[in-house]
Amino acid sequence: MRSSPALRKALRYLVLTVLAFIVLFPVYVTVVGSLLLPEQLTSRPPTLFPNDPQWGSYSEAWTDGHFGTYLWNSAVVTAMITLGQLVTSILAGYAFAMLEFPFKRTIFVVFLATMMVPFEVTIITNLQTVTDLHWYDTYAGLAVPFLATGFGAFLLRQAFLQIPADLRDAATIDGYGHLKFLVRVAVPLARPSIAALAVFSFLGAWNQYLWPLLVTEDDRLRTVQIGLRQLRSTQLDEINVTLAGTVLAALPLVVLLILFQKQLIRGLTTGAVKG
Amino acid sequence: MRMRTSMVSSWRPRSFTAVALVAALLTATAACGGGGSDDDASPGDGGGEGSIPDCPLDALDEATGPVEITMWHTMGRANEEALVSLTDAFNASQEKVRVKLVNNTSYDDQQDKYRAGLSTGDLPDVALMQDVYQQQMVDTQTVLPAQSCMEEDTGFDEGDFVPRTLEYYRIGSVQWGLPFNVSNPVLYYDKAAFRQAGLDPEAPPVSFDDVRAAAQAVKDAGFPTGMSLKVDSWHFEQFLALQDGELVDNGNGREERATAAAFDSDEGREVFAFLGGLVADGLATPSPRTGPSQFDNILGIGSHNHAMTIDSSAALGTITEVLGSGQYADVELGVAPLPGRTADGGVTVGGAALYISADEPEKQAAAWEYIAYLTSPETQSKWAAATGYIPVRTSAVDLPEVTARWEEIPGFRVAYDQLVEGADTTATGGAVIGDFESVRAAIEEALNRMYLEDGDPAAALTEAADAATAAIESYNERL
Repeated sequence: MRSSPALRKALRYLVLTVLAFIVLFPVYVTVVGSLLLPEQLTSRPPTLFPNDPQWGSYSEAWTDGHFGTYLWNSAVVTAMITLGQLVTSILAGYAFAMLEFPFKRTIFVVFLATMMVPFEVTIITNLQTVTDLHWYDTYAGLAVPFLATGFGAFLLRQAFLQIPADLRDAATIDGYGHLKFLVRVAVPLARPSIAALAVFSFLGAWNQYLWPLLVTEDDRLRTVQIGLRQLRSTQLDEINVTLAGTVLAALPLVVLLILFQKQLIRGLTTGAVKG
Repeated sequence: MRMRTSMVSSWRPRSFTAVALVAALLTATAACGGGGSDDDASPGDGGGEGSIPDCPLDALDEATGPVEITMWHTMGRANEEALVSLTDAFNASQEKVRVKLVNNTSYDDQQDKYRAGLSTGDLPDVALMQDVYQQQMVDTQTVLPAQSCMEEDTGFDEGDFVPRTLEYYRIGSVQWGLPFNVSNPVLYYDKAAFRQAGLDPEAPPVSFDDVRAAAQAVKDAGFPTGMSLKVDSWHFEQFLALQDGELVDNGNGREERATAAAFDSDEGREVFAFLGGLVADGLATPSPRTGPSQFDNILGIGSHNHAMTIDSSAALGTITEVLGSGQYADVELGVAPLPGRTADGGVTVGGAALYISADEPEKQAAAWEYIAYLTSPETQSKWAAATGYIPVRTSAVDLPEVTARWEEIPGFRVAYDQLVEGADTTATGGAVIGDFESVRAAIEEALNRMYLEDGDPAAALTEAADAATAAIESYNERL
């Protein structure tokens, strides 16, 4: 039996729709829940559409939950970490791909080895360093330990390796030094990988919880994930505010993913096809 | 729920974090010798022996200008508001001490932060730590025992405390922390459903047999089941204490450091047989302690799935609000003491205690000043009324805030009454265990096996005891 292409397409869309529904439903419930009154949240059958949206939960999260401050702090720290990781990864990745220097392989392996060490193992030593530098309760303490990453250097090395040697030769003839070649040629060519790295860095930095909790105690420097946990209530009558906080904390990530979707997928597949 | 759930949010072994931090704790304490104030005490015995350091109460008078101290806590929103307003009032009431509050979001994460701070010195001056962390706090060697200051402070009225609230935080003869927020589990039931089932709504079940009979009657009246049981080690511990059964050896870890589980006993078997029997006979259904379904045991009363459940007394405020919101108009909430108490038994306390972690004399004195304020009858009365916790002072019960609250919602009284009733023994004092989380994980695994896989109660209990003993030994070896 042959099925027509149209039917197969329809079937495919049906399956995708069902899967999308499964993935999106919890998100939908979170958003709806943040707009309900507490007693609607516990009603049976559940309320699935806010006929009379209650935005008060958001203002409560913003003011009582100090989400204004927390979101700002997360933005600052995330920007520092993302930018820092991009700069260090681009420079290191380029060096490993394009330059010749003694012990290159060894150093590269050491870089890779740092990827095998879970962050939790280094927490205590990092904390000691940060405290010794008097960076407890500062943006520096929150961001500096994460400014370089072995994964980033590895990812961008792979991207830079794909640049044909001829291109490098041509650029040299044109009088390009390494820095000029990096900025004008290599970085634009590696854009998908760089975008992917940026998104990963952003996600990781934004979602940090334990480290910020350990190096801060001043509410003026704490980040949104801590704020969310403070807001997190096990009391039924306040869950709408917790949900509002969840939406606020997730919003920047959603926007980012929508903006970078294309690059993200391209960046990932680039690495997959040619290693 | 209000406090129980937040304090128990995750004590299942949490991968790297927990392991790494425990390892760090042990190296750190070994390396820096504590750096705390009680090097005289010998915690190797479990914290109850040896001389204790002095509490420098005079240091506060000698200090120039106000002494600033930091207090770590984990109170969720509504309770945090109450704590903040009490602390603001304290700061405004005197010139010597300024308290800064730091909210570390959950008992477990705060414990992680405390352990990490052992190596860097980033510790608070006052720490509000969950009940089960008592032995670990002692083992950090950073705590100035409250005992020292109680002996020094002539105005301190130890006799006014509810005895069992103090007993929980005392090892040997040393009071390590002072109780601040206290709760215990109670029986919640629907009086309307009881009437429907031909039961006397004003005579809630008292013994295990009563519970079975009531659950049977409710089920016979057409309810899907009689009762909902949370898979919660804390509830098992409480039932055990009601039988005067100890959780671990060496006087529940109070005479000497515990070395093995002691709950694989007649008392333990009786509790497991009771719980397992209810579920096996369809008279009760288990419900999860954490996660999205953690309120099912409460909401199930509203939706007439069952008529009884057990939960923290601190949840009563929330339950009253939710059930009173109008959509469960036919539910008439009753609150009763935890059933099954024998003559020598009683409930233990749950909650958290205040520890002095400051190491400078004037900060230690300031910390004590604040702790004495937080545990005073007046503060406890306001605190209990605002949060639903049990006041730790007997005289707080006659103060206007508590009287008014208890008049409004009489169920709040039940938790206090059952805490002053019964016998004060090492069993009802509660257990002191270094790695309490693993012991609880072992018990909950056994409960799950018994409930969900029709496991034999006695066998499940023995397995839990073996796992608990292994965890206790492992902790002791690492010290």
